[in-house]
Amino acid sequence: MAPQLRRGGGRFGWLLLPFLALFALLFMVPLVQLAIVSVTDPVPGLSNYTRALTTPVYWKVFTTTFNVAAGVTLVALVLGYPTAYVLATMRGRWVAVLWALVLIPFWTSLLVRTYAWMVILGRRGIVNQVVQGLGLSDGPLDLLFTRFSVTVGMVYILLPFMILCLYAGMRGIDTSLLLAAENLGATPGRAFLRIFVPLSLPGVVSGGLIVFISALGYYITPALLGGRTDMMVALLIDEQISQLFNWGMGASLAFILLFVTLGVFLVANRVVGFDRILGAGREA
Amino acid sequence: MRREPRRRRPPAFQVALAALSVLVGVFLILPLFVVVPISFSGSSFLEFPPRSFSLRWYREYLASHTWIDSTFNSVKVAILTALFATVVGTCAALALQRWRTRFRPALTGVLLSPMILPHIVLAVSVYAVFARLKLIGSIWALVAVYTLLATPFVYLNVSAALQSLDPSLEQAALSLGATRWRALWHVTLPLVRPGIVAGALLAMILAFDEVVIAIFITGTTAITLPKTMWDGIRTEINPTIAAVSTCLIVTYVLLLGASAALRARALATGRARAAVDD
Amino acid sequence: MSVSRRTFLRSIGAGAAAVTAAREFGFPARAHAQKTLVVCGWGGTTTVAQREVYFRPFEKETGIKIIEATPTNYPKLKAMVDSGNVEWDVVDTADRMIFSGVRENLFEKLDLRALDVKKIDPRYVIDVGVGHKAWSTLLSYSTRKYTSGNNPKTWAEFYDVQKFPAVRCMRAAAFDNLEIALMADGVPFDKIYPIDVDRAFKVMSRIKSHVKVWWSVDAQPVQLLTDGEIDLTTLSAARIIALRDKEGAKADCEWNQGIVHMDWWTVPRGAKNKEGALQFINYVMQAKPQAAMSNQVPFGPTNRDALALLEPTVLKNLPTSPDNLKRQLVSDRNWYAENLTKAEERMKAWLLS
Repeated sequence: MAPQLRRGGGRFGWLLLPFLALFALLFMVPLVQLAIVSVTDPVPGLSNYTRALTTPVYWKVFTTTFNVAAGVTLVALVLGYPTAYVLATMRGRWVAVLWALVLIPFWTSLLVRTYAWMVILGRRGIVNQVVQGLGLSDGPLDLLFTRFSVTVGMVYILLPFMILCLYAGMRGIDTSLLLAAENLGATPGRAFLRIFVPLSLPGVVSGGLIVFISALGYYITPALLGGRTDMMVALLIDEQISQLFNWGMGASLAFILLFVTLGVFLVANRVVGFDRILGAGREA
Repeated sequence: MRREPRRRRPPAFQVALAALSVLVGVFLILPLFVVVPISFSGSSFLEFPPRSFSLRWYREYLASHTWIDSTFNSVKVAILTALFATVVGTCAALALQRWRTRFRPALTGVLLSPMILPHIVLAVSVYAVFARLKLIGSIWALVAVYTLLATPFVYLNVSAALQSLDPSLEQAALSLGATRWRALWHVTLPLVRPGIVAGALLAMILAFDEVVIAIFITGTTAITLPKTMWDGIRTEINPTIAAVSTCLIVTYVLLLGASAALRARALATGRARAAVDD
Repeated sequence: MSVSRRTFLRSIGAGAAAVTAAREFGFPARAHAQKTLVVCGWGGTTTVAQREVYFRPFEKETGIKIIEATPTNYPKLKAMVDSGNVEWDVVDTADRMIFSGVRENLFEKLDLRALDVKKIDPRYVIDVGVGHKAWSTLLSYSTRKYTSGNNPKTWAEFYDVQKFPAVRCMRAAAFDNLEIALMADGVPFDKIYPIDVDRAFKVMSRIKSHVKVWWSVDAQPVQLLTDGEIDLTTLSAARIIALRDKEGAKADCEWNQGIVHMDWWTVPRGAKNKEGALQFINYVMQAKPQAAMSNQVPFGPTNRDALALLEPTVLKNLPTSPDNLKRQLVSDRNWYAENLTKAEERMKAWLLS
């Protein structure tokens, strides 16, 4: 164990300062403001919080939000992992094309890509045409305005995030380790599962966190592509703030979201050890 | 990272990978087959397939000061955000990786929280701060907020990359006499470059796409592209946004092509030079 | 409530101002404050039309330069007024927001003596604003499906899933839907307000499982209607008429039992150019500009003389032309002032169950 790396830990703590300064000014200050509003508007007290926690609507919406976000993260992981693997370990023209494709969703604006999915998944859209053409169904499938279409729409924009994170995590993996394992008698599959996958976990964690947390805040895509039960909490927060001027309620809902998410993170962290996976400093 | 020659993978694995990546590729490009045609549509609502063809939306976009200014503003804001967020996020990642404190989970939570708070709530409260500082409408205000929001992206990616790093490399540099900071700058950071680049890219995307905070902080000046796209949504959505998207995609593809060509040229000259040197 | 919030904001501001004192000196107060006016509107074709028929002529006549701000954003307006730094001078405000805005004290009380409102329908002149364009929510349908006038013509028929099997689309909000439900249940216009919310929800439950799409942005039903994805929906008149007439889309609407809403010119409290704002309102409320506006976008003018300046072909598309107005319900914003929050919360619960 290198003594130099063990010491000097505290010195590195100073590197957090830029973030903490930004955080203090642009986040803590607003947060305190919001906290005050949440307990003073419309009347002083915890009425907003009690209402949020006891009205079934809010429970349902919170549950839906977390479910949708979890589903989207899972799908993005399943689709993204092989893609990132291809991008990180292979070369060739297809890889270059794939790279080009990965970032394309970013350049299409929200409205336009939501509309595109409405067209693609619609009753007369291409998916239905293919499905009916192949004889898999007599009439058009109702793909739109369902949890399925919401997931598709959200995965479309979040998949590139996942792929980028996974890629960044995979690039650092020394593939000679896999070769070594194979030389020692492991099958390529075994080498992959026992060596590559665990080494790629930091990328999985970073991608998973980014996609999950981002998905929690989505409401426009679900509103446009989803059915009446696919209501996400950010929609309620937006309505309270933008239309009903109930800033107290909006702030309370936002705080509940913040604390529940952080709570989930901290609990999951105990079990999975995210902060360890992400960089508990492998000091030798 | 050294790239060794292609290993012989079992054909089933190879085929499955290829198939899945093709599927993902198709998934990613499918909407383009809708977006691009409607950008050439003659009617002023989004209609697919278009009944008539026209270039008016491109004219609308490219000949409009508002649209072009917004585009350049967005590019400016995106690049500045990527710059600052990369610095702040990388520092944070290094800090949390090396500073062994029991507050690490809590600090990680703090680092993640800007991602969690819904933008509308942040926008409304940050507005008050900036209004007092008379910074509404200032690009720097926007960059500051976006940097805060983008730092978690950079932090997570750089952390993941740092984690994959072999610490003995930096150790070796130290034992060869490098100072801590030199070792960091010349050994560690280049090795986590994929993480930094991924984070910077995500930061850029966030700044380029974000609309809620932009609506609040931009005044009648310094308007960004997403805000211009959202203007008028109460009354109509016309194919101009499809034309904008198509232009952005074309620019992006051209940039990718140019950078690939440059890299190929550099590689070729490098090899040629190496051949000459031998 | 707002007092403590504002005090807190001010104290933060005091701290921040101390830090940037030097900087503030470098920022000139808005130059030529009397010579510019910031008008906030909805954006899109509406603002383009307003620019042509309101802003440019106003600039020419008065020499005051108009700076456009878009879109009208209520939380930003409130944040602006609360912070004391108001960027907008005139705001195009929706019906529903008038009383929320009054409750939050966001508007200046207009000096009605300084306003020339003789020709304006008195219903549309209140102490904080002047109603200037009416728009309606109408029953809209696809003419791909209903080719020979066999479309539902009343809300009762819209609700009749047996007689009119169709793919239906409705707004994901209580706003307008409660009135529609009551009208479908046979309640006459003068008995709609105050709304019997329980009854309305009971009626709506009849149709709940038959509505495929619940829209939140009104561009949605526009697209779905033109794509043929839906057959029946509620939609704003200006949109459906533009679709039908300008774009030749296969869609049409019924004026029968439409619901009329109003947009208002208001002046935010603490606006920097209040005199200019009043001048502007006076100018655009005249008959000629109002008529010119309706020629561009089919909003209903509120200046009685404006209607006389319009062709019959235009009049038949306007919510406030006498023929259309008598067939419609006028939305009551006072009811919404009291009940909007509760109604919307109940609507969410209803949608989720």
